[in-house]
Amino acid sequence: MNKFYSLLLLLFLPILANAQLLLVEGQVLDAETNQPIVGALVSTTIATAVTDAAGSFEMELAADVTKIDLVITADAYLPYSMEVTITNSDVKSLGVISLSADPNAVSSGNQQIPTLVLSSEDLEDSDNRNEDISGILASSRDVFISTSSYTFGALRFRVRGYDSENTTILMNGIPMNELENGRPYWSTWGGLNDVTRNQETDFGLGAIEYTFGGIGGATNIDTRASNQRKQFSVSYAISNRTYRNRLMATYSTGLKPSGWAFSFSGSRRWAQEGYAPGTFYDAWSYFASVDKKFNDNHSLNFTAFGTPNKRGKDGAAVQELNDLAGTNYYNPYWGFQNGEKRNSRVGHSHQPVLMLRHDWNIGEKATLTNTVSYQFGSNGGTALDWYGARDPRPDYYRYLPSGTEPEFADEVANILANDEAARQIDWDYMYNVNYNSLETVYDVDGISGNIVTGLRSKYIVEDRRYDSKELNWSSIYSNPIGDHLTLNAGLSYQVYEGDNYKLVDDLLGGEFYMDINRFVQRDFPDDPAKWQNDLNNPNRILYEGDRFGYDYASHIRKGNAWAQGVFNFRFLDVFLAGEVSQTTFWREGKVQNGLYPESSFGNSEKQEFLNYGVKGGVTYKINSRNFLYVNGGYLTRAPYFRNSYLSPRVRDEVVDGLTSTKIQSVEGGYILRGATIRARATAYWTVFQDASEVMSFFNDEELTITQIVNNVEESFGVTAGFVNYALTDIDSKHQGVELAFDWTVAAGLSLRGVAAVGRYQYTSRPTSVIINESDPGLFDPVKKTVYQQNFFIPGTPQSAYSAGIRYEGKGYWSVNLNANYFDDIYIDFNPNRRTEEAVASLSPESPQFASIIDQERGDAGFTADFFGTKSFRFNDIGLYLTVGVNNIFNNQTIKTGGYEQLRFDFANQDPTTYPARYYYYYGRNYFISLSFRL
Amino acid sequence: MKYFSLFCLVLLFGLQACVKTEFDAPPVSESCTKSATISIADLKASHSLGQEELIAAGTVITGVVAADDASGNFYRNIILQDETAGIEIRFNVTDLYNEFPVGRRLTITCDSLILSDYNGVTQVGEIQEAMISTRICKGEQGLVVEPITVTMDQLDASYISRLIKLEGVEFAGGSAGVNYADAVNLYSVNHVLEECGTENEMLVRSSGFATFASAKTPVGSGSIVAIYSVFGSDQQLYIRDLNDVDMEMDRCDGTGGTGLTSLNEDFQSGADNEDIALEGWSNIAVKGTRLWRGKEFSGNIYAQATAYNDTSPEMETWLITPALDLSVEKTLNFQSALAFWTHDGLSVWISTDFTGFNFASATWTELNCTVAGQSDANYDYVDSGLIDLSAYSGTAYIGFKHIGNPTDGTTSYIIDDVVVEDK
Repeated sequence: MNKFYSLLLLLFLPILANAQLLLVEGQVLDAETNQPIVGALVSTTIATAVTDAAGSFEMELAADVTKIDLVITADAYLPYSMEVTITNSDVKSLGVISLSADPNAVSSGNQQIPTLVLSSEDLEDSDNRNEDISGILASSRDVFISTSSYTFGALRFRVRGYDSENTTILMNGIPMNELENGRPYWSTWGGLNDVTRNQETDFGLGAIEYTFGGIGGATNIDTRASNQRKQFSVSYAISNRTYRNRLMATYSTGLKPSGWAFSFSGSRRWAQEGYAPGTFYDAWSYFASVDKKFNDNHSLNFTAFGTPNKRGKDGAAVQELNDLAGTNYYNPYWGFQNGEKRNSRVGHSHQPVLMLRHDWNIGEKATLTNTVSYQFGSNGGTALDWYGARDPRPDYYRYLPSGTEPEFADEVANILANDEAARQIDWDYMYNVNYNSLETVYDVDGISGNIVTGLRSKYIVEDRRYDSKELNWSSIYSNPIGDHLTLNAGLSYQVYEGDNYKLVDDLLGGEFYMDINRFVQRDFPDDPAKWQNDLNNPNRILYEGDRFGYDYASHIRKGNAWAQGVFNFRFLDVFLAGEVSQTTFWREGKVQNGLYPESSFGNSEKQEFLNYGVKGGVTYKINSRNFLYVNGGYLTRAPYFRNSYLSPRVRDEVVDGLTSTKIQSVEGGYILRGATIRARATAYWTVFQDASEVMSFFNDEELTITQIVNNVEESFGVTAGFVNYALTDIDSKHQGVELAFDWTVAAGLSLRGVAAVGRYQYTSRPTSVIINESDPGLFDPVKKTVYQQNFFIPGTPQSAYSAGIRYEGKGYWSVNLNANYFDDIYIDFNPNRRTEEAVASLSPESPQFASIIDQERGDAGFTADFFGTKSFRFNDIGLYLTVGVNNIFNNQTIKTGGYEQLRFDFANQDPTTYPARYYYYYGRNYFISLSFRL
Repeated sequence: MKYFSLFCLVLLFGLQACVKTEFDAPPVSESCTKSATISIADLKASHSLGQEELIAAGTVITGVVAADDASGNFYRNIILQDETAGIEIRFNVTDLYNEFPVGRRLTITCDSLILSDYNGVTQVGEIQEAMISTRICKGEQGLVVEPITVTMDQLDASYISRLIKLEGVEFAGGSAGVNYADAVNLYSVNHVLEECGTENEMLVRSSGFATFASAKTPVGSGSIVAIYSVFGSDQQLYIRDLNDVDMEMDRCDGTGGTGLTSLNEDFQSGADNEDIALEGWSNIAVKGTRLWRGKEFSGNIYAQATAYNDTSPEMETWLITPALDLSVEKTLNFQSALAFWTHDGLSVWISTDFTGFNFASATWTELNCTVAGQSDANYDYVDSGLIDLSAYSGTAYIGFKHIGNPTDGTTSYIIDDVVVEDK
């Protein structure tokens, strides 16, 4: 720690220094209306500023500069650049600068960006490991980031192969990354495009004014009403992606002379069926923001928003079923009920956010922003559960031709190929089973003689909930001190309580269900106490809306302090930043589980982690257009709650050797900001160490584990049921280069190119532990080494290239064409297959050995996208049309990812018994939007 | 405000669009109208033992389910029978009883299914999951399948896979009063069934996966309903569940009755610190996980139950005697003791409808007797006195019930020398 304190000292020392400053100021107005343009970015090579509600900006520069190139950019306006010669004075006033509206801009900013095609899975599913951060980065002004997020996002491209927890998303300074797993959920404000547009995005390891950030950078969204463009706008869009229709309306007053500003927005996105079959979509959003500016020094903002949404999910499918269905978009989650398509996996969430923000201008230059926020609400997803009845999932391996007796495989294949209902869930069957399941239950609720007779559902729909409540406070301080130094600092504290449980959602025609664990009942038939999910309410009868199965709270507290100093000199910018955080978390069991009576109930031991991070960087300004930079950082990160407990549903045991993840990263490159060409070339290198991961899966076959104890080989079976799988000591290395340019060849015609070539690999052999929830005898089981060194990090193209051409016509129209090429997409692998046990007794030269061990790589893919705009103006009314078509050539064979099932057929050592499941890139798809604004 | 109203108006439009996410419950599936083209007997007759034949196109059979897999004694198969014969239908899926319960009429399209046999039992199969909907037409439910009452002499190959009833039978000596099957190791077990007044006997075979596997076979005589089967030259019976067995009368030789005529258990065959597992006795944990255990002190072994240091919040465990024949009036006597009194936790109960399996649903009546209490010294035996059982008749079981908890119910209770004899 000593090292850290001395570093902090170093950081604050320069405050004592003082130097001469030059102030550049001006006001940016709309050329046509003379209205102030709020939020325009004024940039020079050495400093940037953003215009305020009056369109004014101030920028402090070192006094020794003599000439600056100033570039002003604002959403929906043509960029403006000027060269300013500095004479010997303290203040350089540039007066009024008028920007002309960009005739091709639709409304502004990211509305121009074709909606990213995300599988609905990406939106809120906490189980999903392939979160997409590129949507968040789309508003970045960085040429590489903006281009790559336009074109690569659809392929689940993750910049530098980072998981989304490496990017910090803030709203009014409050960290929005979910505390249980570190991931930001963009859907929390989905549909509020118009009012979340004021974003500051910083990519990578550079200096950030509002947070320390992750190694992937950070974004801060400003929702203040006074910073929203004054407008009334309505837009309607049609699409064939996750939703079919979108209606959006926004009304913002701008800052009124009385000091008040109001902003409202609302939208609905919906579809009875999206691109994938059986996926309905119904997402609403509402937003209200009120500002009161008391004087030049104090203003208050209150923001409230929420996005209630519900949607049918789309599951990855085994290729066998895709082939039988004749489409790569086969979705196993839906089935016919009374002839209508019903999805068994309905995701839903509504987590409203309330925020109160105070902005305080202290003295001449310093600012202090304090925000408190409260977020609460529900989050969940439904799934089928069953008891004493056969597996209802249509993709259960024994129902497929490959799992069938060979003499009937053809017949089964014929039925599945020709009858859509046969290859989907059969709701009518489940109802009919429940209609007939009359049963008498004795000793209900543990009371002798308490008897209930009725229809005990064999199949139900359960709702797996992960509700949460979160109280946050953040304080961000910024102060330019002297000529050469800007100091930024911040504090935040977060209190989180997650509520994890299951509900009976639908009894499907039956009258009740029971709170007992069917797997334990089978494993311990003579021991009814063990079957109980809730020992204090044995043999509990469940009705719709009742909690059952498991019920625990995740408590997390996180305090964070950071500081940053940025030093600006004529040829050199230097920054240094440091962060300290304290994280405490524990599990609180709400029920006592029959199998784990000692470790399931009440508060667990607290896990505490003290973490720190340092980063710094140097930018060398060759001249006003050419820059070289290098940044580096080292940080430690507390393990996330979700990756810390072996079987969090039933007990509080943590993974062995739970420790913080260590991250080192270096990036460096060259930036060109020419008059007609912008370009960037960057190389990066990042190492993650000591990560842990807990996965779980439903194992419907016996899994035989063989171990050698005292030189004697022993085999035993992990019986079917819910299996937890913990990996510790995961190390990985991400390295690569990023290249991008945007070149205006002639008036109206520009070319763009971007290439991301990376290599993201695991560099350690983690330790794995497999635990069956329903058989505690298997606890303290075999630890296995997973031979995954040099395996590739899955779920993102490691190489992606795009070339584009854009033409802006004179009559307010524009067209863009992009050609994209993706390669090195790897399928997520089953660690259990990369163990000594999986290949026991096989020759390393044998094809079978290779088929078990080798990692699957998806085929390279080529796509082409079109994007066009046209706008009309009638007096004060603007009408804007945008048309986006992705994957013009309808390539339906690009795997965007997938995963091997976590089961493995140890008995036959056959990897094809449980084949991998894949996601495919949508075929030709479109998004057409018409909006008007006044 | 004008714009705000307009804003609200636009959003109201959004409300109009409908996304359907609620669904009606589907109707009960319709009855089948398809009819058979061949009787089950004729289909079976077309099979040559030891061969596998593809069933000809257009072959349809119909019948009523005579046995299903609800209890687990049948696995991945059901028995379908018509007036002529019964046949085993095999599937690749489990839990068939949900769709094909006993008493449901099924019409099965057998085209290109395989007709084969397993040790003399003709089978049709194997119907794969996807084939259920295309081949099986589900008809009315709740039909009564009457077993054919026969004697063992009459049972020949024509009865294979039919529901039959034998009267005047009993489980032979070693097969009476023991578990139907091995539920711990999941092994099937054969028991010998004798026909009264004849030398005839055959096997009752039960699966270790059956829900009744750990139930006790009756010691009396009576009737049994079962699916008749063979395994090579062995004749064997499969019951569907315990309702098929009704043997409450005296044994065939008139002796023995339906239970032990006397009992004298000193627990000396038990072992220190091992759960009591005596032949014919039941040891049941109702709450918590602990059972009655054998304990040894100076060579004497006794049964003890305690919640001391238990990890479960509550404990209730029962030690239940084997079936007792009360046709002659009986008395009960036993010794009890305690250690480290904190609560009264021992009581003694009797049931005349317990079967060794139906603990929760059986009726239990508390017996009035003297047991060790607060004033008794640790480990001092207290005599129960002679308890008169003459108020009860038929077959009875005595249960020693212990309740406790690890906080204020930690007394250890001991019983020993349980004696039941004629009054």
